[in-house]
Amino acid sequence: MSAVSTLQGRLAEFDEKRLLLLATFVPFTLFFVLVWGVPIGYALGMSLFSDPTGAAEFAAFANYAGVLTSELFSTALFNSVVYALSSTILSLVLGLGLALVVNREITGGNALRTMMIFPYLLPTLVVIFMWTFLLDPNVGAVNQFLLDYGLVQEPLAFFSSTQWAMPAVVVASVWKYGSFAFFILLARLQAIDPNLYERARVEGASTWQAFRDITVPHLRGAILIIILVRGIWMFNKFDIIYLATRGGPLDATTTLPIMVYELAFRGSPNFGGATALAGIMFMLLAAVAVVYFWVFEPEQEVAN
Amino acid sequence: MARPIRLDTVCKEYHTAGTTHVAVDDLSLEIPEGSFTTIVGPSGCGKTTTLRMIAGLETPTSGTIHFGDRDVTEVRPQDRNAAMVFQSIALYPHMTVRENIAYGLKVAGVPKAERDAAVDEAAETLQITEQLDKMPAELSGGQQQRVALGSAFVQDPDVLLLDEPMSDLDAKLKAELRVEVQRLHKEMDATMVYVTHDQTEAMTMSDHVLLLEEGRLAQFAPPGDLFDRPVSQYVAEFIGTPSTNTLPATVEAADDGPTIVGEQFEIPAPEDRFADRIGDSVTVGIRPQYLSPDEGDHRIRVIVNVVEQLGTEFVVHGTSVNGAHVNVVDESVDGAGPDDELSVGFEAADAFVFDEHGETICHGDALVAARSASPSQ
Repeated sequence: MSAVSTLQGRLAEFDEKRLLLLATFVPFTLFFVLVWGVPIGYALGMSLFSDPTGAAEFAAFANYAGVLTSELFSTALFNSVVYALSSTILSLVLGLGLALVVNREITGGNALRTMMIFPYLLPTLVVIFMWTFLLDPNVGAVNQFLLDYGLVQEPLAFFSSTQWAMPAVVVASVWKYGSFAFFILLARLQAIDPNLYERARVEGASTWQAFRDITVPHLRGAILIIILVRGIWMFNKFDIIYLATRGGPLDATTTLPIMVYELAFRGSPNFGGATALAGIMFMLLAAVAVVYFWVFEPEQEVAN
Repeated sequence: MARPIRLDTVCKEYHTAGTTHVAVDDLSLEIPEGSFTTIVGPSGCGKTTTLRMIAGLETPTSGTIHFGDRDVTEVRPQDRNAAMVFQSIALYPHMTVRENIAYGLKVAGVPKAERDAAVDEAAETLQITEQLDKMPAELSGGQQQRVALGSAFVQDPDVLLLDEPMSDLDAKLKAELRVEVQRLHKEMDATMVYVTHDQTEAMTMSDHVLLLEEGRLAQFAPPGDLFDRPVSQYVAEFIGTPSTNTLPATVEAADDGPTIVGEQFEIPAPEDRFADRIGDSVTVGIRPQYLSPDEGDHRIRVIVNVVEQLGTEFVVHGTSVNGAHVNVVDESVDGAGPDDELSVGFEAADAFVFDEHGETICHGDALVAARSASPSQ
């Protein structure tokens, strides 16, 4: 009797909990497989064939070898790392600085906080229009400013000089994406018990010591996640760079995603090479992410 | 080195949206060095603001604060050699208990070996040696409070400030920590200022009690004085549980001098203080503990509402004939129950008399001393 009722109990439990689990899990899994798994598998499959969309022929890792040994690969990898690191670090620094300022409850802090969301909401196309206009050598405000204050002798063609194209793209990217770090860090800052700072002051800690010993530990997890997520996004970023410079001049801003696009859609299409390069990017990011999690443990949060 | 704390005409105002809120109003007093002083009062009376000004976390709008001879009014909290325990306890959640206790020493540049020795000593005193390697989140409320006390202890401050440190603890832990805090005070060479809204804590722990009323000083005196010689009706009613009974009365001229006449009692009053008050209405205050069914020259009748038994004594909550709320605390109440009428009496020596503004006219001893008291009933 009791065994039966236990069994019935288990069945009932199965019915309710498992059904709920299945009802939520199955559609998501299907969606994930169809929208992510299949295309990824298909693309990785394509990377093993030469001319996969035409006279497909199994080529094993020839595409990978071709991409890796191409002259452009090292340049594009270097550009990608430079772009991802600098735009991530700068937007983190900018976001942290502004979050610290707004968190001080200064006059206009609320207005600043509201304004911070706008760059993130603006379409990338608009952002690039704005920045190409601002940085334009003939009519741009930035060049006007530099000339007026005698910082340069003649206007700089930011987006079309090999020296300035990458910094210009990074500045535009930081302007657009800096608010991401800002909002996450501001939320974390506002969750810190203000009494901790007061206690630290009474205990004799300077502002810097309080920042180092209270603020930084509380922000550590958020900062590590921002670096990881923003870093991956920036490494894969295509639109903002392509719209600004098309990867030029002279490949100065050609990152790996732009190289993938160039391989796939420019000149003679090379889908095998493009998908192989995409696979390489995926593995690079995966390796970095695994090491990152292992070394920094960003999931370790300050327990409140 | 403990230091006296002197507040001189300290005011603190807050301005919000065009209105000015006076949190502390013209507060002047001297807290003796090495003493244990409690600031007590109802919510919003300015006690925490006063403490925060002593800590340096707030700057007075006007007035000065001295630690000994040193004017600290504008001195940063970092440079006052004070320690503070917060109501929220405020342990650094990402540091172990040991790091929490040692933090003040660490920022002061004390070498690690010395820090560890100080922490070990404090932990032993506070019985938290076992907890030193844990994180604050792993501790119970009482243990967290001990850690906060420990971190104040190791800093060897001149002034130790505690802001309602026990308000979130249960009664048993409170009683335990009360003893702990007093023991720490004996071991430390520091002037202690303790903020609480719990007058029992204030009365049991301190050398001096500062009672505030809406930012102003109501009375600053040893606890016994607050109980026996309140300067106003507010003090008499705030200190002591249950609250002091207040009975309306008038001063009338009798053949043998002024007499305080209430609903059912007549108390002969001293000539010097009452002669010019004939016809005034006054309030007679009498503590529930001094009302007794069996004794007392002056009697009042009380309709019993509720009787509570608290171990060896009973608390009667009742209403006097004229509707005033009257509490009686006694060892026996003759089996009185709800709706019974109880006759209770008091001695003039135990009464207080307040004028219509709530200021004390005289305490019971003056009532007795001035003229030989004679039963008036």
